Amino acid sequence: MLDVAIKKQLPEFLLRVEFKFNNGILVLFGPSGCGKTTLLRCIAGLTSPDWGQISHDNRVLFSSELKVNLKPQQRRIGLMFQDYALFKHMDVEHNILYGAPKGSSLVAKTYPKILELFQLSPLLKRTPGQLSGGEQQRVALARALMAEPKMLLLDEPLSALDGGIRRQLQDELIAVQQIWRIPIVVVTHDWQEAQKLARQIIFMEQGKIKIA
Amino acid sequence: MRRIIINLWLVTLILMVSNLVGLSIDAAPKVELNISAAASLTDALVKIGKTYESKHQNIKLNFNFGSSGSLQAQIENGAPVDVFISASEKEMDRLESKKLLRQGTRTNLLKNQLVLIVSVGSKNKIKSFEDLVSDAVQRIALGASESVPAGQYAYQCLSKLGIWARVTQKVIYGTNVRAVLTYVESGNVDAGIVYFSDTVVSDKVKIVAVAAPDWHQPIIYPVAIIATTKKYQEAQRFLKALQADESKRVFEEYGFKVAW
Amino acid sequence: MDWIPVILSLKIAGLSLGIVLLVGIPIAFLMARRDFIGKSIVESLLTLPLVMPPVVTGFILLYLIGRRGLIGTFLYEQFGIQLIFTSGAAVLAAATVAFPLMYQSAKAAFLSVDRKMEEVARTLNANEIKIFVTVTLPAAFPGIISGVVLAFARALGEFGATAMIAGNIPGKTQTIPIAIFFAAESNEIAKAGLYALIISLVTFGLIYGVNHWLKQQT
Repeated sequence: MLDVAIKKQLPEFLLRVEFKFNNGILVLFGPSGCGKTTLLRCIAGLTSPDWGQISHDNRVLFSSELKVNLKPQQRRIGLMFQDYALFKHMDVEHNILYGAPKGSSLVAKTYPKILELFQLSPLLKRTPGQLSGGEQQRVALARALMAEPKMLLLDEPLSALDGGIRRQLQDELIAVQQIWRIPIVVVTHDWQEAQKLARQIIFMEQGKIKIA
Repeated sequence: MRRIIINLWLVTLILMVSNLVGLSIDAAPKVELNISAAASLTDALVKIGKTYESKHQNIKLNFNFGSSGSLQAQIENGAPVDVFISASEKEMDRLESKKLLRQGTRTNLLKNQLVLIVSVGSKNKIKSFEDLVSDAVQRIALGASESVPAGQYAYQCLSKLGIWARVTQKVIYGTNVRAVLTYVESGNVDAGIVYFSDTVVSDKVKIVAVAAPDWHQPIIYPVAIIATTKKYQEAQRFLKALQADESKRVFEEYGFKVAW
Repeated sequence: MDWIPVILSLKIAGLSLGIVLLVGIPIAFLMARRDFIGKSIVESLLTLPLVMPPVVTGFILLYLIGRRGLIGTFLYEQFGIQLIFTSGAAVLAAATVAFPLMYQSAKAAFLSVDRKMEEVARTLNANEIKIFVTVTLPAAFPGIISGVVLAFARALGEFGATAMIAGNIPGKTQTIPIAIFFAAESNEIAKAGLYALIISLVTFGLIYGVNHWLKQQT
């Protein structure tokens, strides 16, 4: 169970959010600039809130009161940026395996499954510059999953795609959640996408939640 | 705004041009004599030059001090020199063979001695040239023998004493004899070989040994007027003044011996 | 044809490059990532040898490491080491003037690295050292390589500061530029010209080679 209650002063407004979420896909929905990305970054540990608490499955990740602030490396939370941020100087295979614990037998089993699920086998030796948008998104997702995260945060993962590819990847996202059974938080400003993916939707505007 | 910028630009231009023009105009037309002389003559010649200029108000002396070898090269390459004084005959011979000297003007001006010096505060126990081979001596400053006569004389001296091969690894070469003097003064080398006259102008070094005259070729400072000079009369007059009693006093004051 | 100055020059430039890399890359990384009080002063000091005349740099170094200088006295009294007029001084002179070139290139390269790649790496459980080695450095590589070339070429051609603190000692500090100067002084034009040609060819070859290689990378 993901439990978030934080405040953070941003240039334009005060980000102030409070929610709990159990499992499945949670969608953060709202116009651009309303603090969704900042919220994700706080959960991942790349930025810190000014005040509050973030915990997952009773494990405290951040607490201003208890002075706890785990580094991203310690949180086991996967994050996917809008532009995927693949490692340009490595090939696809090295990208995917970057965060995977070495020599783990679990990894040896998971790796082929992921390759098959995302159809990445033919792309292994290519570099990110040689991939299409949809292929890059899949590689980024595979990379995040291979690090065995306890939660996934996806910041507008599909906004660069459209049409058939987008729908296909939405289906893959749902499949991933069902296979891995970890909470996935997706940020989007596409209403249809939100409805299709989400078990729970949080509307945000100017840093505040409108309807929980 | 545009007006201001154009005005500023004009003013700057005028200032620059007048500067350039001003630099090339002399207050009153004086005859300039260019004299290239060995570095060891710096202090003595500057003093003699001041006296000469005050006696001959229409003459301006431009001294160019450096290693005799580099000065000789400059003259060979067409530098507008009127009078040349070198610290050894080799450079003068070279110019003579190339017919760059005005016939009949060459004469020997001064003599000097070669000395071994250390810095005044130095604690090393060097007492003679032979001591240079000791392990306690790590660095010796000499003039670069190709272009610095003091370096040539030092080489001759150390060869004659049979120790050149053993000290050659320790040598650091200076571009002229005054550079060698500075190295020793700073304490950055253990010892150096310069002229006796150089030690007169420095209170930061002390002489530990004097080279015997037969250890090297006689240290002679020849002087001559350069063939391409356009101021022969004035150069002649200056040459005569260099050999007058008054000059003799100054040269001896600075550690030289006269050769006339 | 005496090859010793050539070999000596290459050795000294190589050593200087090594020092500049070791010291320059971490400092460039720090300055590209952190802010602190007095940062602009530090920035100016690090860039100083780039704009100061080399003889001035040499003069300052001479003042510091000469036998009676601040650092020179300390070194001599504590360790019996004299840096002045040794190959070490030549390396110091070359490293000092080459440093700003490497520093500027490396800093620009680090600043241009996509920070998001580093952030993603953190979420993928990589520690800071692993991130620096596997993500930041490779991404900054082309910029660092230009820095290497510039620094090496500069170290190879260094004269002013070298002449002041290392002097002209054949076999120890007589690098090609120093050899050229002294040869020209003694009117040995052919010798000076030959050395000048060699150093020009080496520098040209280096720069051309690296530019060519960089083009192939993209």
